[in-house]
Amino acid sequence: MEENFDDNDIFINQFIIESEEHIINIETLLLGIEKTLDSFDPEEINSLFRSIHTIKGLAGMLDFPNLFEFSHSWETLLDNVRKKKQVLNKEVIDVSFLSLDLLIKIVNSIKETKKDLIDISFVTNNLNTLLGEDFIEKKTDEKDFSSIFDIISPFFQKNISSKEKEVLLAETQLGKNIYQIKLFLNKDCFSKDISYFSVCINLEMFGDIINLSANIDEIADIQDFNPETFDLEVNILFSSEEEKEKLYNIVKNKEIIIDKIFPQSIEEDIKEKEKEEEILEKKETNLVKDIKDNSKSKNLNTQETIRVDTSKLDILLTLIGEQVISKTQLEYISNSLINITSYDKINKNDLIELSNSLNEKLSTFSRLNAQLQETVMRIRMLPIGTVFSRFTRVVRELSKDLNKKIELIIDGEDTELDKTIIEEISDPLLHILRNSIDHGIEKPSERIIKGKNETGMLYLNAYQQGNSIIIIIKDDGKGIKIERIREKAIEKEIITKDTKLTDKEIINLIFEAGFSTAEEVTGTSGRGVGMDVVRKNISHLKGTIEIQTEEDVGTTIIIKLPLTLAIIQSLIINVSGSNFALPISTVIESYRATPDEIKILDGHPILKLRDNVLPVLFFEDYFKLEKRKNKSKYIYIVILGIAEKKVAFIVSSFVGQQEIVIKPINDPFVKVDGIAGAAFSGEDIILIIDPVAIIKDSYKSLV
Amino acid sequence: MPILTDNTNEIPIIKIQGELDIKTALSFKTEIINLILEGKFEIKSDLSELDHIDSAGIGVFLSTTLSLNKLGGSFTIINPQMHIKDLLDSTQVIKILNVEEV
Repeated sequence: MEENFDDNDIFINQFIIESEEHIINIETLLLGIEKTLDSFDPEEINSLFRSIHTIKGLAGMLDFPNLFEFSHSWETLLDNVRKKKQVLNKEVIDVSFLSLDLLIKIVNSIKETKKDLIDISFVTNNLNTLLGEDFIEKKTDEKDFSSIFDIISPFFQKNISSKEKEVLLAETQLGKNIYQIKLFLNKDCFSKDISYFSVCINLEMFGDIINLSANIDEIADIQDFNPETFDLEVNILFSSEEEKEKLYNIVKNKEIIIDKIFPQSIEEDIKEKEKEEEILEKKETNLVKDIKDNSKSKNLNTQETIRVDTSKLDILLTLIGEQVISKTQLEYISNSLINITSYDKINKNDLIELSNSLNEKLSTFSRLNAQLQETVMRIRMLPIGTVFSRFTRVVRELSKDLNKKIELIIDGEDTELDKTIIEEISDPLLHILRNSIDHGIEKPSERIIKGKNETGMLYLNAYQQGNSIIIIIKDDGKGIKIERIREKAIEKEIITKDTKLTDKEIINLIFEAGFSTAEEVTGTSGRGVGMDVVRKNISHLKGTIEIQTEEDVGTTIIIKLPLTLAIIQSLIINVSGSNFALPISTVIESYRATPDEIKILDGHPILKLRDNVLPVLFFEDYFKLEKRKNKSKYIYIVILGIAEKKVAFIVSSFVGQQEIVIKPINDPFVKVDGIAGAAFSGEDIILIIDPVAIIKDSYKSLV
Repeated sequence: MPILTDNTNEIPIIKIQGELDIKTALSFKTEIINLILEGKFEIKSDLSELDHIDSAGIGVFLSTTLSLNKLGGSFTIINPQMHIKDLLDSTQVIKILNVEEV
């Protein structure tokens, strides 16, 4: 029993992964089709149909009745479009977007609960309205199973035996799909690759061949028979639980036509019957199920998977191959060393030679290691385009809701980022985008008055800069009114009337919790929970965020993120004899100073750096370490900065820069505030300092 | 593909050696047409030395069978090798052909 559940979990995970891909596909297609409504490419509709159809198939297989019912309606609508029974108009597109949203909701719900519990009635009603009465009538009409004999082609009606008829009926009642397959056997079909046999064998693995007959009806009389053009046609009546697409994949033969004849639109009813049975069953075994569900919920967490470009894996494989060779060479040197040391007299020249060769091999080894590390890191990287593409849709919806004209320009979709970052950056970006659309870009009328183009521009770009990824969100809207923010901040008691702040600092106030300047709170934004969450998320990713704004010209938001989370560049510092690592992405600068540069203001140590006044934090104080007498007449300062907040951190000395692999500390008893994790450096273990916590604490202590 | 026709008996027997495929099916066809023109509507074919057959080969057998049936005659294959028989079986062509094993 236990195993069955695990199996099901694997299928559900697979389903989620596949559905998410289809969702992206559907979204892209819908957006494309919408743009070219009058002259759409039929292939796009086909592709759309296929995606939905696959989801429907999966839903049927995994027993998600709601999803099945709803995707069936959706699929039928598109099928009608495909068959030109329905005009492709705005209603179809709109209801499709509505359906897409529902689909996303359902998939997410399945991801969390493994159950299909979302209410589908609203969207399904909308779909059915478009499908018209025909569809609903059809649904109730075709209940009779015996009609299967009328559905099968005349060919099979002639060729099928009574025994086979019984089998066919039994299979339909089991809810299997019935297919009529036409195979064309040409001259190569029986040769070495025995493709005909492989087709039959493959089919039999995924279902049952009820009847197989060669079609002799169209064979010419001998005087007209032309072996050159003759293809032997074999017809197969086939029952299977698989969907048509799957069968095509299994068969992998071009000379084949698979025609699904059952169930057509009757499937709804079968499913409904099953549903009823299931409900009954549920009632009976409620208690047992509850217990099962409990045991199941323990391993609810969805498997994290990643799709990897195979070329990346090939590189990895090559590198590992080289690594093996390198290891053999090192073993050889090791053996030679053992040999030499076993001699009575050791020849110094031999040793020198060996040591040289050892050095050489080691350098190869470390080069390979570095390459391996980089390749493995690259495997975790995904193009940011996967996130960006979602935004096209958001911009479309929002601009429609707000009666604004906005064009979204996307650049740098190919820029790759660590998977974890990609996942976490999506929401903050969405927030910023919404803000730009809602508050930034003006209504068309307003824009015309200002002499701007009626259509607002939103520009999204991502590129790599050194060890960071820069993401830019730029709009040509009205910009942020600095005075307005100041007033609001005073009103919300974030600052007092007397607080003196630079323009930049004022702008940064929008990152404070509870801040919102929107005159009216809309559904889009303006609930004041936005930007502080954005900053929090970005800090969490060890990134920084910066705002540049100019009234009536626009706002640019620049997000800087580290390339990957698992491996970071760090500055190694020494305090009281121990080494610590600071993520270099948060180090703004580091330098040597004299102790008298640190001043005391209101009892707090401060550092004046150029035009800025920064709070000062002594490392030993912060971590409550034993203070050592500092013989040096200099102090060493590291300026840490995250999202516009900076702090001067005093350490004993700098050791150097190093790439470290972060190992999280998971033991709750070991967790220390301000420590983000640990890393191996040579033979030592060094602790990695969490600058986010330090900066937060230092500002807290100021207030 | 040597096709040897033993026309000495009442029922002619065409012996096929080697392969009956897209290249050789034509000669078989010619042979059959010649026999039909001679007024022979009962024809047998000895397949004991036939090693390979393809869809064209099967096609020419089927066409011969159907044509001779129409003329009130019949076509029979004799002693096909096991793998040839399997193939005829797997395509269910065997239902249509007369097979004789001596």
